[in-house]
Amino acid sequence: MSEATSTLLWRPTGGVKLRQVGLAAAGFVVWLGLWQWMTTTGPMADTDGLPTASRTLSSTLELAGSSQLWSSLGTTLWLVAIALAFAVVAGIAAGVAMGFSPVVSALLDPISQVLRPIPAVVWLPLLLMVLGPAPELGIAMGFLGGVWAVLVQAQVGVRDIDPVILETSRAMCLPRRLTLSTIVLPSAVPYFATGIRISAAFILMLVIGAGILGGAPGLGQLILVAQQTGDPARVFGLVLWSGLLGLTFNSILTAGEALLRQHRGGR
Amino acid sequence: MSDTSQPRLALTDLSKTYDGSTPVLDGISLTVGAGEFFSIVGPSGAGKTTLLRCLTGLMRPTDGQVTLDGIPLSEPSPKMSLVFQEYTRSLMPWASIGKNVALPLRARGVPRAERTSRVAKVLAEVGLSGVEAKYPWQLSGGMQQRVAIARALVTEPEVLVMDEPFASVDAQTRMDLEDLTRRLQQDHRMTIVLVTHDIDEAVYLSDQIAVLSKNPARLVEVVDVPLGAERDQIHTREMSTFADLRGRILRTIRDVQTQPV
Repeated sequence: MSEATSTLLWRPTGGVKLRQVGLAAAGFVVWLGLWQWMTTTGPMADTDGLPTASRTLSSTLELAGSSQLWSSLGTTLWLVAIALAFAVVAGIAAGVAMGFSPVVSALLDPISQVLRPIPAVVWLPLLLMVLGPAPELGIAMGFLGGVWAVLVQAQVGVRDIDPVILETSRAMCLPRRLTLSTIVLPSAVPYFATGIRISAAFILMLVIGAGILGGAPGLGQLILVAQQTGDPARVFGLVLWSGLLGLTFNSILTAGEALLRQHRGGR
Repeated sequence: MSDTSQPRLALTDLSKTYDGSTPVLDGISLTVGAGEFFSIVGPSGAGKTTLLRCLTGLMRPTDGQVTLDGIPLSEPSPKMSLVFQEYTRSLMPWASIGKNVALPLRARGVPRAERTSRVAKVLAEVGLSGVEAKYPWQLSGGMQQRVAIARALVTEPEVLVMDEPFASVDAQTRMDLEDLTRRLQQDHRMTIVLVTHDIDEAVYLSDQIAVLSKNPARLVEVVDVPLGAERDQIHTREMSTFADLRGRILRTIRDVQTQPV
């Protein structure tokens, strides 16, 4: 199944592809045309803070040459990476322990049930007071938003192990440690992969959010500054860049997940 | 069996009742001698798998006990190996054949070099030389079950327990695997306990067959199979003794099934 998906992703057939690209381009042209018309001669002309399509596009292109954009993108990705690393390590450790041991589960599951439904943004005021508009704010927000997806997937992954292979390992007299490393963890890898993909998307959103709302460094902060200096075209340009970042990020994650699943071996 | 030496495996008055329901196993006692090929047959749903789980130590019986070489068994023993019906589920799809077969040796702390040579040797024995680097899903069903058998044999167990091991392969492969199992048992002087619903298979392979009843499972009779050590898929199955035993066991099972509960 995962092989079929990656084939679809990476080996599109020529004819269909060309047609689709043409249609997509037409969609963009219509969208930008409408936008330009609305904001110049149409009903939304001269609305305060609403940039025209042409100004937004030129601002977007201008940003591509700005070192500020690239260093902010770099910072954002760096913070996402750190937050993701923490979320993955903590989420997998706790999730596996909870899935594997009824005692740990009884101990930690209630806490997780209470904390998990709290929308991560709600933590922002508190974290801002504690950490200030520092990189740590972005990391902490990303972690709080991203750890749950990994934890839940890890838990489910461990509980979803085929009972036959567990019986087999018992019959082989495998010690618990070896059962964990050779059977439980590899068997849960597809779940880890899904958890990481979902979690990373959350983290990207929250790291940027922490910048916009709390001034943590990165793309979000750049948007906040553009807003405060009253440059809507730049804000809009940065929004488009965020979209581009999200798109790239997601494709990489999806491909990574497919790769991890494939590596585990298909049945 | 008939001699005075201690049986390899002994079940004494074994009963199993799952919480709040009628008993599944009721007072089953039987002994399996060293080097014997022993089969357990019975009507579908007789609790054969429950019996197997109890006699391997995977499950605690409600009453009675299992002894292996005279020692009571309360958990799986390293002297015993198990082969399940579902080879696709009992092999690790993410590990190579070599790693799959070596796993029980790792559990016993066998050093890597020795693991490699023992895996190669046992794979050759089941007719699968040189597949160490392949993955289970790259092999056919019959080959995967050979891998599972190799993994069970690699620890040189005294007792090999098999749960419907040939139920998921085609007829030709099934015959090959039956002969392989019988040959391995002879070569290693191993004790084999086979749980099967296939009476022909039980008669063809076994030295003794225990017939169970249903609801709850009780031991109806233990049948000796005097077909000699050498078995042949064509000749053995043509022998009148084979037909007689087959008929006798089938009749017994039909009788216990039609009896009012």
